[in-house]
Amino acid sequence: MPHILVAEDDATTREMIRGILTKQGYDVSTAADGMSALRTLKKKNFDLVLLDIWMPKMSGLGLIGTLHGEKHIPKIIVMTSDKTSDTVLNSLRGQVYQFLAKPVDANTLISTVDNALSEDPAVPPIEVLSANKHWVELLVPCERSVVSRVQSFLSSLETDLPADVMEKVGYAFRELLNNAIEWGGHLDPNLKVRISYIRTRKLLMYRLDDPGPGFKLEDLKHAAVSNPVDDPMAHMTVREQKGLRPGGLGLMLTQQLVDELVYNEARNEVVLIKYL
Amino acid sequence: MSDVLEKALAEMGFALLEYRGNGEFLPIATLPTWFSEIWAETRNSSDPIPLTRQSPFLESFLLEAEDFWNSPTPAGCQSETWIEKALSGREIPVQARALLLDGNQILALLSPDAQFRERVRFLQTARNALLDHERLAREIQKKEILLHCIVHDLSQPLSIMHVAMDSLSEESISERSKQFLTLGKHAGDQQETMIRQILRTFSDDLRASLDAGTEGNVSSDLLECARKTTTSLAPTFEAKGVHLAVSSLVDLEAKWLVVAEESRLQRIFSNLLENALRYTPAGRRVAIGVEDEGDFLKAYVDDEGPGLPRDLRPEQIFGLFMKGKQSGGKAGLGLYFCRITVERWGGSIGCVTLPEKGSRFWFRLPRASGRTAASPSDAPDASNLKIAKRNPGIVRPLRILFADDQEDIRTLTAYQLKRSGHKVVIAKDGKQALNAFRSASFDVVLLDQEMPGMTGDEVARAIRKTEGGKKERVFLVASTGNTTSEDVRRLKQAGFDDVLGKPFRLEDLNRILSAAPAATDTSMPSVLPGAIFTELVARVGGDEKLLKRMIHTFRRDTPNRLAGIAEAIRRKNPEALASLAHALKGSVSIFGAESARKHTQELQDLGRGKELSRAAEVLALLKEEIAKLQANLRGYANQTPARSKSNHAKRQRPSRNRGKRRR
Repeated sequence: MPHILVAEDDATTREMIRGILTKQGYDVSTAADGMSALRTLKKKNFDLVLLDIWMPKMSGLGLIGTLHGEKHIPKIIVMTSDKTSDTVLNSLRGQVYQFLAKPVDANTLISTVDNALSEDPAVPPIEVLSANKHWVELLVPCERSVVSRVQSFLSSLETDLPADVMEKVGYAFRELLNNAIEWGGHLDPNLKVRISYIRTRKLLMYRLDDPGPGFKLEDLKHAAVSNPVDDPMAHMTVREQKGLRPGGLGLMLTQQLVDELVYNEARNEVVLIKYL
Repeated sequence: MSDVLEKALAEMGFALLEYRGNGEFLPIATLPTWFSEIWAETRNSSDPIPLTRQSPFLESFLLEAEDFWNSPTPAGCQSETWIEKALSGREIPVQARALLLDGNQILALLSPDAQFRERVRFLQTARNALLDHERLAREIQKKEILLHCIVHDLSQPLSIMHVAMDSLSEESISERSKQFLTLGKHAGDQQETMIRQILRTFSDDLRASLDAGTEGNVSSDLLECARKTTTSLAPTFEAKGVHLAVSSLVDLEAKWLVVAEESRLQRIFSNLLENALRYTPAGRRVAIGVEDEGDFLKAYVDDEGPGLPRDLRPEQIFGLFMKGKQSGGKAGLGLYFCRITVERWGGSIGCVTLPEKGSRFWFRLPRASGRTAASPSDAPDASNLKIAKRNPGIVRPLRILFADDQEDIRTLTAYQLKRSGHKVVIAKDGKQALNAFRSASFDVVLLDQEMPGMTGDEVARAIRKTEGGKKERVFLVASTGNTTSEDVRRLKQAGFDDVLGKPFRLEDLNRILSAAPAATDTSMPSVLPGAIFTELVARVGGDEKLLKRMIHTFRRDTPNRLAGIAEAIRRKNPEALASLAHALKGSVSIFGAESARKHTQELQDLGRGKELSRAAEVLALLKEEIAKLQANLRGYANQTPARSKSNHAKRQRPSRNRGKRRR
């Protein structure tokens, strides 16, 4: 039975998380502040820690720092209602597994915890090359679960953009990352996609560099993005002929959601830009 | 006897022997080859052959033969065919006949080998055919079950797709997006047509799960079906050494008529019995029985196996593709099929570990008495329920309680209803719906039929019971994939006013709502504790006890937190203020108290910004909001299931309390 530690100073939240996870069959311990969480972690090996950031005596980030270099470091999911860039960046540097926004609900909590605990231990960690407020650069393994994890971090960075715009950019980024991991990296966790997030005064930019050989647009007749202007449904016929499931709208939608979408010549690197 | 005659007899397969007493025989003619194959060591001996010692069959036949030989009026004595084993292992059929020829006691033996082989071949072919038939019948049954499950599960998401795309088409979207939407709608329609085609092609019975119309024989005798299934499965149970019987507690004379179709009811019994057999060790017992529960009849299968797995909830056991550890190559559809079928008939299904040993799988179905033959006026069929289309442009705001266990349908339908100007409270299961109904007033209650714990039927009955005979009744709508006229009749009996067939379109829903009686009280409900708590229970995964514990913790901790915040402000300690406000923000966010959350956020920001001048003012506002929240939570605590049950019990008494009841 996996052991989970819930470090959270609010008793009601603690009670809720413990209740939900216990019912799922997990062995759950709790700590009301950073120091007692640290003591508990020293006594017993945990598989996962659900960590609040703002806690008395020692903050969540303080705890992550203290654990650095320890022999057994459990997976850490940070739960916070404060999406400050500093918290996100420090969590990234501290090899936090995922970000979870508060207040959590049972479904999200259970699926996040299940995913974290069921992930193949052989999947390499996300490497942080830069964790600067204006420039975040990551090397991520080509594994599907990585998409929601990376997005949980990047979508939590402060951008001063309205929520609906962030949602659109988030969708576009997700689509591109999925493509990079699936088509470029063939879901091989030993291959890496390089992600850069660059924030300037005037723009927000994502760059994705996948390990594949790229693709040719003429090979994408089954995707809506290559349809002639006067025939927006052309790709459907192609998909039908090829026996593909209906769809192929991802790239097309992505193009419409952001201001610029630029590929390199080989088409294994893509840049997505949203002007602020 | 001449040599030629002797040889001819041997050639024809006859062995003629004279009885010499003491179980011994002497050949009186040449013996045929088959005889030597069986009794070879005696073949060349001139001594009498002790045949009865070598053949137990002949030993017993000799008793009859001796009677025949010694009878003054012999009436013929011939044996049936029996099998002797040759020394080579070959099985040889033999027939015997006693003859009395000139006072000589003669035994004539014959091997009807050719006819016998023919008969064996014939029997074997018949047996193979029977096995093939049984295998095919099971295959067909399996496919039908699979189809049934597929259809059931395909209809659900289709509803969501329809409503989602209808919703999207009301948004302002680009022309290009509209084209995509048209494409999506077209594909949705195609899928619906395809489901119907599949049903038309494969099964009339299955088609009834989507189409209104065909009315079949829908009442069956529960006990009769149980007995038939028991009889057909008896050999399988015997083979495993498990004793199968109808419980001795059952009244065998009574009529046990339920709303159910016989062949599928037998399939349910058969699935439950096979499941019991799988887990019951040899030498133990499986009992099948029925019980009277008033409006419902209950059937059960008790086994003496290890009981239910501890790590599985009963609803998981009846889930799709759920297999036990000893699944025995099954597809994991059997119990799922039982559940969707029983629920379709307005019943429920479950299982428990028995206190002594083993487990009980049970299901209950509505009793089908004379009441099923209701008059057309009070039991219209599906076509009678079609209501004239009103102008959809005029929407009267209604107070709607909507219960469905599918989160997507809940979200989308609630969104649409709110968009149309209605006030909506959502519930994710029957129990929540009933709690919400008892805590506020509604014009329309829309209930999905197949919900865990308490089905739509059961909620409808409970609601009608709560209303008593009051003239002012809530408009009850059932949403279901099963809309045969018999289903509709059953739903009407449960107290529903109308039926919304799944998969449904927005226009279907609007049409039904336009027929709901005008609200006497047009004011919208104020903040409904029921509404908030329905969402809260969902947020904590449906665990009302956990929610109650959280409320207890919150009510216990919050005064201290507020005092701590006041103290931090008084002592001008911004760090403590930020930390305490942050923790409190967590709790109030969980309970959805948005104003309180904003105030805690503000206090936290003031603390972090070390700017305390406005802190006391914000704290005062926060205290007001917290007081409101505490009052609501207290109200909810009074509605928790345990208490509401006792309140409900009080209401049922024919007393003056009835008049005070809130609708």
